[in-house]
Amino acid sequence: MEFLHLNRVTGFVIFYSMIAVLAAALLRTY
Amino acid sequence: MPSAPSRILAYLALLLLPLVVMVVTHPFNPDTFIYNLGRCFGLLGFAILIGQVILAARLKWVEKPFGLNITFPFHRRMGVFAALLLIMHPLLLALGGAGWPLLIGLRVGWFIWLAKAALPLLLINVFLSIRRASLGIKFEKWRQCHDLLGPTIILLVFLHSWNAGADLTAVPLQVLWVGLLALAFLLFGYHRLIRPWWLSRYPYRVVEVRQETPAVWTLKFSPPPGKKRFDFMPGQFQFVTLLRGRDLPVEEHHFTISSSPADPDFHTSTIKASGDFTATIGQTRVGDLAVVHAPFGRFSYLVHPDARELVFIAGGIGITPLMSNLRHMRDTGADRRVLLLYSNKSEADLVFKEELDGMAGGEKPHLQVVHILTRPSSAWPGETGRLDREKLARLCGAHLAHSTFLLCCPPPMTQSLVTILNDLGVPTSRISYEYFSL
Repeated sequence: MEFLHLNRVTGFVIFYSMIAVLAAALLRTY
Repeated sequence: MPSAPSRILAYLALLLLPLVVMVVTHPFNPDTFIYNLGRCFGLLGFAILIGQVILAARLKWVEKPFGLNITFPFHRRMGVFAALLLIMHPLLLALGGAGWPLLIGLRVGWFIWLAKAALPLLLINVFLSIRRASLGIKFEKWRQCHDLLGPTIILLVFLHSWNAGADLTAVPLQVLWVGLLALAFLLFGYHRLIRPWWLSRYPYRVVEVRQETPAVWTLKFSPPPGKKRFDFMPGQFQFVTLLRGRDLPVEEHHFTISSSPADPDFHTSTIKASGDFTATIGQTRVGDLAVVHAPFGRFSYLVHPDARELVFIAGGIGITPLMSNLRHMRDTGADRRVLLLYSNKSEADLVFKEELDGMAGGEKPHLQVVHILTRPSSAWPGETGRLDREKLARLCGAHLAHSTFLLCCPPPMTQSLVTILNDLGVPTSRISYEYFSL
């Protein structure tokens, strides 16, 4: 799975965008 | 110097803007958490697809703090991430209340069918992009396919979300959606049509073709009449489309610039005949035209102003960006100490040997050159064999403790050298490398 190797910038963007997705879904629901 | 964090934050803001607008425009509704998570995955997935165009359009503002050899792999990885999000999107919706007919039913709306068409296209696009080399697909063929699939996917996803998403009934999100689509298509049109047309109006001219070794050629380019040559840092590269006629292929390829920017009237690229296209490089003639898009990259000693001592490691034709750096040091009298480890197969493969030997022993830069051959003739007096741990430790010596390393070698060699250097105590922050291919 070499292609899933993430550099720091990619990891940063994915991590914070996923947190934002969770937060948006929570805000939307409750 | 443009700052990298500001670019990353701008990119994150672009990705997260749809989620913020969605939350603000519809703060409360009775949907389940899983269902809303599915929606958010869809919104984020679309925003990433728009971001893909921005990353791939070779915009100087985007590329400059990172270099294309960072932004292109990032583009590839975000493509994988978007595909994962958009696979999860219908699964979460189905799980969250939309029901499994959404996935397997045939009686769904036309806009659901659009998404069902877009998803396999996206997966094919991602698969071809990460497996192009191992599938043996030519770069030009892949690029044509990518240029077709990318905009098609974005258009399908736009039409799907516009009609399927309850979120897209809110005006602010509609405005944002149209704006993002327009941005993507404008950038795509600029990158693939307008800029190439503009550059082709002012082509450079090949003014010299010099054979360096049996397989390596140097092309010298002069700017269009009345125009100044673009400014560049030593070690940067250019995209070149040679217009040679004579039934020779017209393809855009990136080549390192091997000359020094201190030469104001021309620049050169030194190219090894290897692939399908570069095999024809020796057939280039004086007077041929070339569309040039440049400069790109950050593989330059100027990026390390405080590094007084440097180790350059070149594998074969990887010498070219390092040669540009060395020539610039010579032309400007840069006060640097450089150890060049130059690995080749045989004596016949040594490019720039005389010029390097002439520069060695000078004061500015203070250059020491060590040639290493893997298949030398019996008369070769110098270093032989692969550049392994023992050789690196012995040849670099005190450099390991404080020098900055610039590596340009074939990818497997680069990876192995970085591992060995890390083992020998050189932190990655002191190693800069450039792969042959993007």
